[in-house]
Amino acid sequence: MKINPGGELAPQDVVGRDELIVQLWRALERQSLVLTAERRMGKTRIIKKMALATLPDTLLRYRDLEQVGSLTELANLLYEDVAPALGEWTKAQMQLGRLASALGGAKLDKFTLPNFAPASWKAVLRAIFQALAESGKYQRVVFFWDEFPWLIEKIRAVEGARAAGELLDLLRAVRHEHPAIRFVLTGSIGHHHVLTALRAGGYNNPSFNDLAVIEVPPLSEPKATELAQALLDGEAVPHDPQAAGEIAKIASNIPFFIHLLVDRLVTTKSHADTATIHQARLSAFTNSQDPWNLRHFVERIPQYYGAANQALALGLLDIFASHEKPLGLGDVLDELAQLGIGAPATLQRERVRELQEKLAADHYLEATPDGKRQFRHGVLKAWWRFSRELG
Amino acid sequence: MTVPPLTPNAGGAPALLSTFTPSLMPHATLEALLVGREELVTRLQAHVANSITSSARHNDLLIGTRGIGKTHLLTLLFHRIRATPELRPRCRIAWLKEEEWGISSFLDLLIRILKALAHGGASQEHALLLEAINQLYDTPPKSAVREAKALIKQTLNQQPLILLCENLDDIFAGLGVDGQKALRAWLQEEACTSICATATTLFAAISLRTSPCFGMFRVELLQEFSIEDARQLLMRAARLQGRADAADFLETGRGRARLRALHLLAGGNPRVYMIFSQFMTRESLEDLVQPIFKTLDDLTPYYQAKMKELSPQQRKLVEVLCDYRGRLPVKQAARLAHVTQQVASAQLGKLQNARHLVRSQKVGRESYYEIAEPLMRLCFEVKKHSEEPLRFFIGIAQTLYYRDELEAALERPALPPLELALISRVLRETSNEPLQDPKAIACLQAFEQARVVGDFIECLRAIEDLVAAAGQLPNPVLEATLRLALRLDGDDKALESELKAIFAKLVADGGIDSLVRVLIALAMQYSFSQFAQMAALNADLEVWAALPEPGHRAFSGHFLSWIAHANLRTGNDETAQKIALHMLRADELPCVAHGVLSVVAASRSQLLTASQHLKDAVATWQESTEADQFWSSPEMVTWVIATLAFTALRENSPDGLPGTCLRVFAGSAARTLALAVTTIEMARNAQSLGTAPAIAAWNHCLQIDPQFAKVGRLAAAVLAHTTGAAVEPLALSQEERALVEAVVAARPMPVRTTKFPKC
Repeated sequence: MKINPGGELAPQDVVGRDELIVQLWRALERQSLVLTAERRMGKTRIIKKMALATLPDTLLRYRDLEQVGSLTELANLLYEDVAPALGEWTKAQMQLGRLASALGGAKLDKFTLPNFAPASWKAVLRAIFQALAESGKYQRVVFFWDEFPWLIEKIRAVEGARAAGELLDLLRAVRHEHPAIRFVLTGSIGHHHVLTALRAGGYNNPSFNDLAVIEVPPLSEPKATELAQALLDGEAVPHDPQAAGEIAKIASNIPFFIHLLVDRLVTTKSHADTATIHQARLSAFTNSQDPWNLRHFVERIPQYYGAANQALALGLLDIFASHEKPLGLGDVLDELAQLGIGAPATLQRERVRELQEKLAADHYLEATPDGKRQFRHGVLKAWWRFSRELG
Repeated sequence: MTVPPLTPNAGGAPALLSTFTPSLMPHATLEALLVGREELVTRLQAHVANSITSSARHNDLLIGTRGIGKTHLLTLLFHRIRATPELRPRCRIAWLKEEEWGISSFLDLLIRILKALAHGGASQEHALLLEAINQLYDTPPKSAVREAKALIKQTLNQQPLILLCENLDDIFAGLGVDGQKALRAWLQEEACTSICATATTLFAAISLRTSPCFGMFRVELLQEFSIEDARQLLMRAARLQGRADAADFLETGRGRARLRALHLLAGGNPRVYMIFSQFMTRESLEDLVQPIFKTLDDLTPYYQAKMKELSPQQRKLVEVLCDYRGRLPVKQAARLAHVTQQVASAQLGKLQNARHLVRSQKVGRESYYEIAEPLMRLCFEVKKHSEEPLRFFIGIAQTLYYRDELEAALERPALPPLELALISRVLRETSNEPLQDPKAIACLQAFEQARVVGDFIECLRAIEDLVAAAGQLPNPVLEATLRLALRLDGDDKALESELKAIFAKLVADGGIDSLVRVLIALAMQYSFSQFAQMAALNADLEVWAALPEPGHRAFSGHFLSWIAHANLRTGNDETAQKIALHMLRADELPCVAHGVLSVVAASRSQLLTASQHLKDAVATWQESTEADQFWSSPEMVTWVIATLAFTALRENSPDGLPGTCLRVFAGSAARTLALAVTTIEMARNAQSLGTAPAIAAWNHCLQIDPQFAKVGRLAAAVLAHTTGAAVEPLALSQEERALVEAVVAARPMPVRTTKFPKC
């Protein structure tokens, strides 16, 4: 296999995700899904591989929604996706035809897209989903919508929180009215951030509570090692027998970092052994250009948690980064007190608990079985210790 | 891949070598001029091949300053794809070249891609595509985007698109965030495109996690050329132009010395090498002056616009670096810009990381800064001399030509007036002193840089080139110097062979006084790392004693100081003492002699004598010349200070003499080392002497230099060990723990066997 960090992978090169994909198909039998993870964890690769599956009586459609600037555009895209798949004219299709202002839209390969009036977006979306349900051609329709939170954020910014809320409500209604239609929504920013922004605009409906939220984890250790081995072999990097395992380990089994580490070994013409692998990671940490863009995890903190919580969030992460073992809330409070960070003790406990939960939702921390918390990814923890000079 | 035959131009027409537009050059020429990046091109080609033969799609981004060779690589990749029968018919290539200005939306980008596809297609397809593109202009933008995407899909007909893009940073800036999102969506949804692009800097639109296209590109930072790369490039260019004589010249010592001077001018930028190499090969300088002026003039607005974006302090620092050809340490840059070191350091950091206008290199512990784009410096240099444009070329000619070449040129019949004026002025304004020649200076600088990083082979090459550039000045001590150098590292066969070759050459040619100095520096460098050859060194004392006097006084003093120091370090106190006394009698580097004597006395517990010698060492060191201070070497001075600190500690006067010494050496390179050694020594002997004076001394050191914290932490750990206190709060790394344990295990240690910690 060739190194390809960030590029398009051939489906067979999406290593170590088969079990997760089986799990996702199983979950889709029950309900629609939200996939969460930091950028470059492999969400898009997974849903694109799923969208390429050949399943009987099933329509699969992948879309990157980051490009959509308005609700009308969304309606147009959806129409473009389903129109070729619709069968004979149904009542709903006739309704769609009436909604089209004129057949003067974009001329695509086999048909001309209609021009929907901006005000009719809701009716168009309803009609499209209705048409799909009525067509009788498919027992299951799955829309893989990538970067969904960015779409909602864009609609909120351009058309207002109310319009964004209406879209969420409509999609929720579709999920209830048409059980054959499922969605897999992914996003590199957490859906909770989008909802927070909508709540500030007065929207409070439970728009995601019928969806199963599944986090895309790093690869399993054996699969990460398998990927590293395949890349070392594919790029003919001379290596020690344990090199693939070491790469997987210090990349925290995250495929993107595994690609980058092997890439570094290739460009420096290194023999891959423990020393050169660690050197490769260190060079990414020390490079002033920050090629892994890890500074982002510090820089986004005021934006995510507010300036008032910045010092506390940084202090919390410093504490977790400084300890090898997971910490309970009591341990953290003690350390915060020693550092002199935060509010009076009476207020502190709830504030810290809430912030810890948010940090976990944003993939900084994870809970351990005994209710304590620790850094989610070793690579981030190592960088945090390095960049914050924690020794 | 089928590479068209390269026609060496012996006797034929010279090959077209375009300095600014490599895309105009034929495939064979580009292959011939590919230097130092063969593996990179092969890797890019493999990525493209993988994108064509599988459903994987690679995106590569080449980052580098203007003139670093980005377009060359992209053009070469284009030719290689087209020349590979297994690839060419299985893909479509769209090449967006440098001159693709005005992309301000995703639709613009799609139309440019379509035009590029039309340009590379068959004539019938070409016409149809152009007509379809024309219709897009009459379509509302949203629909036009969809139609353009459909048109591209139709044109590709299931084949992958290889998109070659120059100035991707500009294209992304034009696209804006919405356009970038649309591009990402298109790449993800269609999965038909593989991009190989170039940019001058790593830009936020791909490097920030919040940007739509974050992490989509495999980034390759193009490095500057080394001197050897430059030599290869110029030799190949000369051969392509049928100038075998010019190519051969670059293999001579004089040729290499000239190249070293050119390297300082070009800063590793291949385009600048090519621009100025024309000076070396053209018959007429007059023919070159105007084109080079025009070239630099055309670039000036670009760099002026960059300067306007800077703060006044940043502009000042950039000007300072432009004025100074070469690398400057922060301290000197701050002085020349009239700002504090802190301000200079912060602003240079911003200029490097955010603006990418300067770059830095660490030499030893110091960071040296220079302008990242040599073309920028040259543009401003021309501008500076706008009232007297010839001034710029005089500087260039002084850098590149030898005096005898210019004198010979004056003899040519019917010399054009401009050229006559130029050569006459260059001759008039050029010093007769061989070591003042820019080529000799470049060799000495190369030597010094190589010496600092321990590249002794390069040291010797630089010396050889220096001898060739500066002429033949006999010096009887060369033979002995080289013989000594040869003995220092008998195991290094490559070095020995190099030394022998140079030795033979120098004996044949004679030598120069400065050569002796650099050779001693070389030998000293060895002496600090390898003391195994002491017997041989001492035997050579006889050789040195027989040196003719006077004339080599400074030289023999440096040698004696070095050999005395080496004896001291290996425990031969008696020999060291004899040499030091000889030095005092002959008034050779008395500061070093006193230092050596103070160490000898301290090791014999003659503390009063030791203190007196050190005071004398400090006093004479301050009186000595800068050159002699250099030869005293930081390590030597540090060691002397450490010894005295130790002595003072034993005299229960921790805040006395060491503090004085440290203040004396404040600002010198020895200072931090002195602090380190002093503290470690104090800490290590704390148990026998009591921890209180050691801690007091350490605190004193910290007051002088807070940056000393790291070594201080280690010292504290040693103290904790010796006093039984907990070490855990110090959170030592594994490496630090091992060091501390080694130090503790070695205690008590005689001062003369102290190993210097790396700071």
